[in-house]
Amino acid sequence: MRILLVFSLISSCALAQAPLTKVLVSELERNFNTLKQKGDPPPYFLGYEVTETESDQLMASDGSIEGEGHSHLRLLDTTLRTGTPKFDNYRRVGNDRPRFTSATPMALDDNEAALRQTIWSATDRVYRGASQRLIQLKANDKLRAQADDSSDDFSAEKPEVAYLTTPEIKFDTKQWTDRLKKLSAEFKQYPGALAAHISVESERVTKTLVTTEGTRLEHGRTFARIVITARGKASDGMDLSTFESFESDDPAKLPKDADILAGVKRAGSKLEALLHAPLAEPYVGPAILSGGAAGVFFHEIFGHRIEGHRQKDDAEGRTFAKSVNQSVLPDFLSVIFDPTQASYNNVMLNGTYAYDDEGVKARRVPVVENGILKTFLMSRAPIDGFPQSNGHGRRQAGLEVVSRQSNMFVESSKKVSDADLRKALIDEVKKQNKPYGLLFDQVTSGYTTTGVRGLQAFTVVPLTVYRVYADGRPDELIRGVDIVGTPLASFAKIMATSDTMQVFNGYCGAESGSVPVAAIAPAVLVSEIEIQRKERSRDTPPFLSRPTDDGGR
Amino acid sequence: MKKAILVFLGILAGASFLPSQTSQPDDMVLKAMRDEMARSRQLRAVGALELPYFFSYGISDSENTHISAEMGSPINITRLKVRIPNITVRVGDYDFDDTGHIYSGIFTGTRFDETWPLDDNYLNLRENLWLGTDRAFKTALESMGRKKASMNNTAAPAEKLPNFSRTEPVSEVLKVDHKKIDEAQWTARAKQLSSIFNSYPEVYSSGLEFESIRGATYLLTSEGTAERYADDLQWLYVKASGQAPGGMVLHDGVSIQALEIDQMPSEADLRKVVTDVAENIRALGKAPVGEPYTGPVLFEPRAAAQLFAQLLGDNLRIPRKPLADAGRNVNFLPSEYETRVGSRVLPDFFDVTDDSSQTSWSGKPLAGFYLFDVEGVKPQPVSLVEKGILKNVLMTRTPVKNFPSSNGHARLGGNYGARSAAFGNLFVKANQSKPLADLKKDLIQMIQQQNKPYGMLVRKLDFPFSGGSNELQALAQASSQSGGSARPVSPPVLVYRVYPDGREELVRGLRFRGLSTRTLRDIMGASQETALLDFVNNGAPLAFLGVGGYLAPSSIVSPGLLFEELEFEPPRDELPKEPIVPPPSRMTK
Repeated sequence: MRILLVFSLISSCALAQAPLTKVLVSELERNFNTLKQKGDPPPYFLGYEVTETESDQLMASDGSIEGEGHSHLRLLDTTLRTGTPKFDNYRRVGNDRPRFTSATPMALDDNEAALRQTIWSATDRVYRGASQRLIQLKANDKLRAQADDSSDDFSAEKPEVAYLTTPEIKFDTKQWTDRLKKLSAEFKQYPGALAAHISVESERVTKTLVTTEGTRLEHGRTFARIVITARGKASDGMDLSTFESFESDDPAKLPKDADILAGVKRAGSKLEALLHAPLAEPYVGPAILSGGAAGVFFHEIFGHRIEGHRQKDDAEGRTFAKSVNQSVLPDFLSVIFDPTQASYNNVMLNGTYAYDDEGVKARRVPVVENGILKTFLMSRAPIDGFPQSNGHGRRQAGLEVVSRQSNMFVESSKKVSDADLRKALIDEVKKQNKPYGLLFDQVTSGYTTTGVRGLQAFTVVPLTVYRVYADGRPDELIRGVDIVGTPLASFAKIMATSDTMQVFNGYCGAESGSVPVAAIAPAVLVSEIEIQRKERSRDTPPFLSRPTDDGGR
Repeated sequence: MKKAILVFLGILAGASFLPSQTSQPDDMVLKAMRDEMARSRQLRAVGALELPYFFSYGISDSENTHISAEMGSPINITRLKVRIPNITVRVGDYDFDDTGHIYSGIFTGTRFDETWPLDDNYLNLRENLWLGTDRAFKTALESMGRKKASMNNTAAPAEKLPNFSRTEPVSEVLKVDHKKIDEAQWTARAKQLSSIFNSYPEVYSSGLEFESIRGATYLLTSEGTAERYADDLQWLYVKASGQAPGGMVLHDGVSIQALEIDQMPSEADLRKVVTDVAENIRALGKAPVGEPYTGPVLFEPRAAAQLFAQLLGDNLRIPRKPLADAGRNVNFLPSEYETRVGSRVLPDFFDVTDDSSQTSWSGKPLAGFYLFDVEGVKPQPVSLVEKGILKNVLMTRTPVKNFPSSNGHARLGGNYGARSAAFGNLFVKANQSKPLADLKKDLIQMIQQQNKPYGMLVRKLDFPFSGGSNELQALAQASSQSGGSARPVSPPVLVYRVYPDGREELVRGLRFRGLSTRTLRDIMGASQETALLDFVNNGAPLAFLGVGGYLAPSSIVSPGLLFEELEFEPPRDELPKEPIVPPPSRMTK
């Protein structure tokens, strides 16, 4: 059951523009007006987005601090469009992915002269690239066959005006230093961990966006995270790792030491168990993916395929382009993307935002309703049948916007308790005459090939996987598992889900860089999943034993 | 002195001067290094086919302050504490080891020692040393395997050169002290200096970077070398660019460096130096475009120092070509002096020496002073050129033909398991000279004899190079196409026509054509006046900034030079249009 929360990014509304916004608007008008008069081709749209990030990081291992840093940067991205919304310089042709912007560092104070110079210089550079590409596109247009998708290059959206305050956060370096030293000392209990770290990061990101359509936005978010990683090498050379993390919107709200220590112990003990676990065998059969694993599964094999820009791209596989209003998932599943939700069950969601990177207001987007595909995640780049953005145009500073995921909710109307789901797995194992089924407990992000050239395959990286025996034996941890399969085939095999949702918070990397995302999903029972053995590193563990305090052996 | 992580985060191949003192007791870092190295000798037992014969543990600690500013505003202020290891193991023996092959030093396994404790926790240091040594040993085994495989199918090289020379161990564990830097003061100064450009609307883009590195370097080898010393650098770099009418891009920059913070110039002197850059952009924008020219050219002392820094600096070291499979193309740039040892490279009235043990010259601090090179060898004074004849080269512990030993000049990273040599304090001395004014008269006399309307005078080269990487590539291409060096020489920033009446007229847009070390043989005269130039050598061509890695602050003293004949040409590249929108600085408010 989903809990709707009050949209908590607005803590107060500032009524006046910040000095940075004023300068951006002034330079925007000055540059746009002159370029419209004198530029050939003239621009029809100009927009600036400034991403300001203040962040702190600390990392420790075995009781010593190994890294610390504080950074404060302001980066400018410029979007300039020439031609017309029907045909402009952003049109994709073949494999060519245009990139005009590059994150330009800007003055951190509000010095008008310095800011203007940077904005002007970036605009000039982007204009040259944009106008040159349009001329080339128009020249080559005659030589190309008619594209399958004849939608426009830029959608019409209403401008947005909002001045939202992003809360300040305090990062207590001294306190965190002491805490991390103490917490990381626990890794000494796990000698199999050759590299084990605990790190804390805290950041405050504010975005300012102004466009010639009248959009004026100031908004942002705060974020804090603890990441625990432990890595080791089995005696046969296989590299193994475990991972734990905690997220919050404020470093002061991160868990207490007792909870973090429990995370360190989980990561350490699971790694030790993995180092001695039997190797996975290739297997096809039923499996349960825990909520976190299912979330990653859906993010990779489903989420990337419903990103709008891929449906129009010659180079992409376009799995779902022609499947609108058809069944793409079992009819008891729905998938909703909702960046307006800040948390779920008191767990902070990483894919939350008020406005996307094109200034379009965030909104709830039901992509799949009862198994039927209804829409795609859209930026302002239209596709056939979907001429509007739905607030999913996102990017990392320095890259061009494409449609990206936000908070993905996988909802099910065929829910059973976790215990019953496990019973159902064992029933299926018996039915299929398999010696065991699988339970995917923890996974980390995988990669997907959606292009025409590569095989349409996905690989999610499992960290902890168990064999679940039908005869009542205890679950057995195995190592070296890779999930494989073809996307469409996997979906048809989802049999049921649990009634408890788990949150997976992470960062997704794709064409427009790294963006924060979340996946909220129940555990999933699949009638058939295929695994293979992970490719392993060929080098051996260290020749000498670990040094000890007495000078070593 | 290790590979850096960030741009502008560099570690030094030098050291600050400290009065000589008896060795200090070991700290925890050295203790951990000694204990783990002693234990690592057990790797012999595991070695099977190849045995390790040399272990080297290096650690570079530093606290870095980086401040960048533009037009009076801060862009980025970062404080960083880092500890960067450099652990190497060699297998085989001095005559034949795993280095010197195109795959030397490449590790294909898993790395577990990427981050290091920043404190002095003995056991944590030991563990990282353990993991790093294991990795270095495996790297050496892998490299040796590949090297032997390549050699199986290639004819033995004509010369049998050892891979590694022997050296006397050095034990000097020195006290490490750093002078504090006033970050607030330097931030204010950076903002202030960068705001000088605000009064120059001709300057379209400008920036200032200040970097203070307060470091300590450790080195322990299995031969018995044990060193710890302070390793500091303060560095201010400014650059600016504009566009002349017609589209030609103009740029200029200046680099100020000192080993100690109190050796940095005064605020007033810094203001002057930054203002000069702005004034140069302004003057160049108004200057006429230069014409192609072949004839006599006078280099003022500072420009001559910049020229020698490039031509001599690049070529007074002899890199060794790595072994590879037969028929395989190896990306390798040899020294132009490789075949000229014992031959004349300069006129017979020139001597060139390197003395990196000197800390000052004529009352000015020398940035090229250092205690030990990156291989732990003390720099010896080297007489490189005597009466114009090339006698010696800058050496590392990788022997080259005719030079079997190191003279303590391993200062940069290098490739294929070997380090790269660079000078510290280079002294170019002319035993015959006359006042610069007289050389100028000679120049005028020569052009009159040759019936030329003017001669040329160079006051400043673009060194360190202040343009972008695209321009650098274009320069390199043009240089090799025009018969010059495969390593380009930076174009002049301030170059003047000298008329028979002595009048000087600034011109813009010229670069050298066909300039290489060969040209140095035809120097006709040198000035009595000399200049001291310092810069930070990062191994990139033209000391191009923005490349992280080993940093070797260097100095060079040189007289002015009169060349009988040099060539200038205007570049044949397309010129970008001027911006359609006028810069904000030209806005009417």
